Amino acid sequence: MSNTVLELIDVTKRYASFTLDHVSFHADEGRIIGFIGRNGAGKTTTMKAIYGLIEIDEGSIILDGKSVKKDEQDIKNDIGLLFGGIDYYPNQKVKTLTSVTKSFYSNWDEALYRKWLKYFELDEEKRIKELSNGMKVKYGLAVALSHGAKLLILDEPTSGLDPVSRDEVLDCFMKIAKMKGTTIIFSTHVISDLEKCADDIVYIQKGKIVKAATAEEFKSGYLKVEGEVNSLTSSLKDKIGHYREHGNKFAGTIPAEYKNDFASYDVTEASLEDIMLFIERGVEDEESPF
Amino acid sequence: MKNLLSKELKLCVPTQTWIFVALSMCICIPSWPVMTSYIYVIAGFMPLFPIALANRDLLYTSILPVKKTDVVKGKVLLMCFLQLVSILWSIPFAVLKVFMSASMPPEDLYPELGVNPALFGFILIMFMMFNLIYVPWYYKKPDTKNAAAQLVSMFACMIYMGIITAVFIAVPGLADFINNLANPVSLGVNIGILVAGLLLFIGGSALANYLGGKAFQKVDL
Repeated sequence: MSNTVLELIDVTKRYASFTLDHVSFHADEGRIIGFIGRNGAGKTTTMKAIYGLIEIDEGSIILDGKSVKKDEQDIKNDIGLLFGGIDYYPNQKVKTLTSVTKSFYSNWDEALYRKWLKYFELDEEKRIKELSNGMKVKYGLAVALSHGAKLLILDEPTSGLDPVSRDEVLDCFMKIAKMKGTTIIFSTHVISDLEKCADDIVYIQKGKIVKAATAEEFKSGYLKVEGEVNSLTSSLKDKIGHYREHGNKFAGTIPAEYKNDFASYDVTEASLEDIMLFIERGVEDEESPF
Repeated sequence: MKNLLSKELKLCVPTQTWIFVALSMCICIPSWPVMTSYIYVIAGFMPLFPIALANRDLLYTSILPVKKTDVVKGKVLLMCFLQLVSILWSIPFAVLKVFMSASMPPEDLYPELGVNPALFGFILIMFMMFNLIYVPWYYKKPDTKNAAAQLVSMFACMIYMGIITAVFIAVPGLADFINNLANPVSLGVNIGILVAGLLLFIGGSALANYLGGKAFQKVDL
């Protein structure tokens, strides 16, 4: 059984127009956790809460047996946090920012940092603003991995990257998790990224966790169904989420328990994107103007 | 603490701030109210905070393995450091002023607080006032509070400076007494004001750091 690295218990943060509502989930050692939900669902707020950047109203966050609230400084030594890529002090050179950053970490490994720079082909003489988006992410990873972070929290690390850079970064995540035992929590709107590398999925909707499970378990709860529109009865149609028609064909997503009802249709494994659309858009609202 | 100050000095101080710090050399100008030279260092803080905001310094520092309150501590350390540098830098120019003033006809000089330990005591109290007003105010809402906090704290310092300057002009014999360091009583008063200024500067800045940290703890980044 894997060791639990991070545990969130009933984490609540209330704002005037939004509440992060009793968020609970855990992250095990060496796992990649895809943290998904639509914009404004509470992903970034949760990530900031884990790092103590926002003050939570209720609940607790435990990293390796230490409380984020009480052992703030210690815990930050063990976490690498990236919002997109590194974009602080854009006019400073990479080497200047690194020299300042590393002076704060008790477990900084300079030789390892040099290896990561070489691996990511990063030029220390460049200014931060001269780095591409992909390079900014890689630089952030190089810093996080050089201070021996046990947990990487990455908010949209692949946004704005071209497919090749994205693939490189994802490949890197998988190697880091597998070879170093680092736990990675990352949020993304590019759901196909999660198909490639996520071991677990945590789904958040309107500040509440809808489901936290392994990727297989998460996906096994839903199926994709396709068939001919003419053959579809209205009672069956009502069970289909994110229903759409193209010519005489229809497609949609159903909860796995309806599988037998759709035995005469093409029923296949739903993708994470299908599931997300099912959860967010659900069954068509009858009062919709469309 | 050393790391925080070093980080501030390497990343956060724009050139204009250093120029303003250096302007404490204006103390050498004869018949120029001596305390004015030290207002410049405070004016030099004007660009410091907006530039830090633009560089996302609050988030950068918060992400480092430090307490969230250390974000405030770093800036307070920097402010105190620059204030002390402005005083130390001004000392040779203050000595120059003494020589230049000595060669001027007495009728061209008005009674003022001269270059003596009491001056630096009063300056340290002024710096403490600025830190104590500005820091807790600014860190309540760093995105929006800079201009108001800067203006009010600077204005308070200017009023304080004006009062001290006016008192030494208005009260007959006071300037002569405080500037006469050969008089043991005067020397004692001078040293007393300097020590009081130093203690208030340290205590007030520590309080500013505490209150600013407390306010910043509630700010969601």
